[in-house]
Amino acid sequence: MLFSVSLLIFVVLRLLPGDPVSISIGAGHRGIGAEELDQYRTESGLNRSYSVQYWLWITKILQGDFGVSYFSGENVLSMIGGNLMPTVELTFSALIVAVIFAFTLAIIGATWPRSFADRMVTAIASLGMAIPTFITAIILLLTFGIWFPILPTRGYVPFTEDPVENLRLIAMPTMTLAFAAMAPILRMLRSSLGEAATSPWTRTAEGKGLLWPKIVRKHIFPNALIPTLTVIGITFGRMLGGVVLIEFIFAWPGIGTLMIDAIFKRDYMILQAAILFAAFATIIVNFLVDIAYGIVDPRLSFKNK
Amino acid sequence: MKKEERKIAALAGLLALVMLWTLAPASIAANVVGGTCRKVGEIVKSGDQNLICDKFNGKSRYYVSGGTLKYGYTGGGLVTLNPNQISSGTQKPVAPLLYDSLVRIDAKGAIVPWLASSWTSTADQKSWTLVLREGVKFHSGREFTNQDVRRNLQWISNPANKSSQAGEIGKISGFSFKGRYEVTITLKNANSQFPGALVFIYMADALSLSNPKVVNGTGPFKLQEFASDDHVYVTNNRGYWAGSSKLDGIKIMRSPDATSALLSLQSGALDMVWNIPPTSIAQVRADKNLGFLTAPAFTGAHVLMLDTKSAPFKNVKARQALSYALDRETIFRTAFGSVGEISMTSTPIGKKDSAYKSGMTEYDFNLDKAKALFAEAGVKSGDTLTFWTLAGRRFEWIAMAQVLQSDLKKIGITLDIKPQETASWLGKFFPYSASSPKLYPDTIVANFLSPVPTSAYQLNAYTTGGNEAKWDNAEYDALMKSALSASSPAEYRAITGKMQELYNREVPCVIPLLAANITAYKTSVKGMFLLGEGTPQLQDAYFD
Repeated sequence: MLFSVSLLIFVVLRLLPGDPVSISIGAGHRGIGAEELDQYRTESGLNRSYSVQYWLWITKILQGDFGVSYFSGENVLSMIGGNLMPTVELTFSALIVAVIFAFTLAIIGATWPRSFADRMVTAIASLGMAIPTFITAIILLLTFGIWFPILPTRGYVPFTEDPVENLRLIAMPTMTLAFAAMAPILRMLRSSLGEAATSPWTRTAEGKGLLWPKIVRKHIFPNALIPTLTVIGITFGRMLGGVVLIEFIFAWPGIGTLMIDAIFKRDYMILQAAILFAAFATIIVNFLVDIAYGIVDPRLSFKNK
Repeated sequence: MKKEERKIAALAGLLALVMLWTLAPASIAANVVGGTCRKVGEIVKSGDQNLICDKFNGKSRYYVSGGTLKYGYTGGGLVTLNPNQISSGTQKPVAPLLYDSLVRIDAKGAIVPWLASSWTSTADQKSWTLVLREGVKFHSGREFTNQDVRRNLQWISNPANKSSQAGEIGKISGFSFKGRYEVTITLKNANSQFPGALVFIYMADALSLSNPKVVNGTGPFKLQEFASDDHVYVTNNRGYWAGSSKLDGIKIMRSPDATSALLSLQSGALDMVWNIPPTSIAQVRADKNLGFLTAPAFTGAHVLMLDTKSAPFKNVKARQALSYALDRETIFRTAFGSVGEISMTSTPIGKKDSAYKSGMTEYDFNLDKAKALFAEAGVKSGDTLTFWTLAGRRFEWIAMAQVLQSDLKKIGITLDIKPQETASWLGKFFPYSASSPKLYPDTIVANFLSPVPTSAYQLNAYTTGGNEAKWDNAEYDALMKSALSASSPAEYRAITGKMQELYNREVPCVIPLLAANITAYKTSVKGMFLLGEGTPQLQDAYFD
């Protein structure tokens, strides 16, 4: 899987117009012509055949060498390492907030179906799906940054350095990302809970005289959770894409910002390594979701296969 | 001594101690430096002012705290602090904080002595002798001498270093020295404007040039922290030779998105923002706490590059037609927020420049003339031209293209606006190659040129090999060469006047206006100014 991803990104990046040499030198650079650029490409190894370039890159990766940035000359692995923590922090905090709110609202909606509260839950989910994240971000920036200035509008401080400032800084990016991530989870869980609550086995359980909280805990919730876990896994993958924009708006120095810069600058080494990392993270999360299936529903456990 | 006298003496002593204790911070404030402290960076309150603990010459003392300026830049590109390898406009305001140049441009736009206190040239304008200031020290404590001038210029001239400033100084044939503070630079070609070439040449310690992680300059600030394309924190260089800054430091921070950067400025998270789109200028004007920097004369040029080697723009009439088709007033107002200077002559020199040639043809907005000239050049009603511009940046170019599109439609020409991401945009016309030129027929390419802000460099950008419009005019090149060997300002003005007339007639690139990247700031920040091409100078900034 990772091998296919590595090959795909390598080929796609080379198909795009421009390369790091032409971008770094740029237009209006007196005295630099096509011949000089070719010389720089030769020095950077960019004039070799694609197969040789790919072979060199992949063999170095297997030895733990992800190369260096064409622009800053910094080690790619240390650049990714430096930007990793802010992204992990933001993604997981947003996922946790999204899951907490989605579960709470879905339970409220399912407990009082077709009530005003249920309609509000549906409206919130629809808004979360419909509003683009950059609009949510601007609304939050205006609200908490300008009109009621209680939260900082930009930047990042590591938690270990200043926990309070870290939490203040992460609040708005988290809310923005969580609002968009919450919507599909909420919709799925709400409909699954509704479906499970009206299913024949719920009526059987009620007929047996089981108390409603126990029915919810033992029967309705586990059944509704299976499709929701799938959606959480998919949402995490989408969040890795969505975090790019959020980091850009809130000047959050994460992998997303690093990747977007690398795309514009054609900094192949950074981009290839960052996409490989994102693919690896998605595989791990999906693997964790598979394990969670077995915990929620023992019939799906690997042990029973 | 009697018991009473001893009591009075003790009381007086105590009183003196109390007075000393209470007056100490005031005396520190008055003398700026004083009172030892332990924790560098710690700020303590004293009366109505703050004192900051800072270290200089191995001693930690209290200084009057001037606060920390939070400067945001949009976009990106701050990947190195090597001042002589500038690949992005983002790096330009940072370099003079950490490093000094030999000459500098002041707030009025004049070239003034800096690390070089004076200069003279030989009559042939080939040898330039610079007298350097004595007693200037690098942040490491080492003295700056004429050998540092040699090292930096040699480093820049070495093609292997890919220095962006290499083209500015031209080719150097040798150096000679007198003592430690005088250097004579011999150029291969005459250059009467050589001091102007040194404006963006910074004097770094040799180690800073070879190792990007080492920053050792002579500038007013020292490096505290740098994260590539995220932030640079600099602190006050208390021993700065030209008098230390009033600020404790400057935090240069990236705010990639211009909209949120402007909101951060309004919220107080930033004190200044560099490179906001002109389309946001109304937002700045509406806020009484905000302002934007303007230059005494604008030298950056928004250019419409035309391929002078392919149809239809290889025909000068098509280029003149486009000049007449541009409604500069409307473009200036709607796309550029009325910031900059309209260039009615389509030339790169502004009216405030002493080299400006008056009486040239003014390309007033005239669609009838445009239509007739286009027709003579073979562009007829029903034809389509392409406007090649950037996507996600330079929104003013798209706004300009829309004005042009609507006007060209009136004379039956369709303008297809094609925004591109940077690499694709660049790939259309770059690099220049005389042997196998990149042709881009029927296309207008929007670009922004910001050469060294002096008339010589603005004009030099259009000599053969220096422009991607591929304009090669032997007469223009010869005039440039003559201008650079001019023996007097009057001769220089006469020659550059001829160059402007030639440019005005030939319009190799159509220039609707001269402008600068816009820097918005909180009005409580004073002391900074803007160079004509848009680089904010923060060295003397302070809080009111």
